Amino acid sequence: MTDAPPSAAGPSPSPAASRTTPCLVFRAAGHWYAVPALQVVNISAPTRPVRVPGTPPFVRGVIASAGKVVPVLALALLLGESSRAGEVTRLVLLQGGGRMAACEVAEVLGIEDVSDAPGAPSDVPAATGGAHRLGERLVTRLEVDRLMDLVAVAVRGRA
Amino acid sequence: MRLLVARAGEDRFAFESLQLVTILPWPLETALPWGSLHALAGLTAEEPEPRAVVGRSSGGTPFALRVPGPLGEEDAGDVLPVPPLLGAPRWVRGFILTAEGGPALLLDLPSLGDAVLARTPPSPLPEAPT
Repeated sequence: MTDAPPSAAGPSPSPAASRTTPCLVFRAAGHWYAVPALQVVNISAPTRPVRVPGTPPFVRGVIASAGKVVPVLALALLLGESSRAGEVTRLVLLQGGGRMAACEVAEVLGIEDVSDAPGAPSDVPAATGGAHRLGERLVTRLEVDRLMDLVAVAVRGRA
Repeated sequence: MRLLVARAGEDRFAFESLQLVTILPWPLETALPWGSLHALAGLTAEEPEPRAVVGRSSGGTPFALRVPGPLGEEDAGDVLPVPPLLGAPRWVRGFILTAEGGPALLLDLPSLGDAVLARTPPSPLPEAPT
């Protein structure tokens, strides 16, 4: 599957391979992910989320942020990359498509330029940018809107 | 909005006072279908100092919810809506921000009554604690 942006007609000297997007790189459970920095609202110390009965296992609960109630997601559980949520040292609040969610994160590497070119194929459902190598790390680039869509479909499927 | 607040484990659950029929001692002396707030919250221990919050289902059938004591009362301002990505059951009406700053669940008693009635056939009196 490719998600290359539409290009102008005719040969283009500036393929996506030469472009990068500043991304927040973080680890959840044993996997590294990158999300466009513009869609990161904030990074905070974790607070215990208020559990909401009857929600899927990947929904850890809710927190209050700037007067709103925001779901807290265990990313590794949501993406099926681990059966355990793993350690949590930070919450990364993401916004996409008018929706907000906080992701439990084990480690934040920082902001890195990640190529817009398609990376190596990835099984992660919300990964539209594929897997990219950053130094010694293999980082899966996530597209936040699709991540939110994935959550919406998953919770709707349980209704 | 006037609220009745119960604490289950570390979390707080609120009910709008206008939706309450009454509060009864536990065990019930009247046969009512009933559910447990601790069970809803996934807690295995039975509620300490239990009492029964009595409400009506959306069809008007009375039911009881066993809740831990002591209960608190407080006024809340805005009810924050359930986030669309939460997948919460219908009986989660929304959230209120407590004085402590964290959210508390506001439960919808009629919807909760529907869930209790769907899960439990009309039951005899609950067993008295031994």
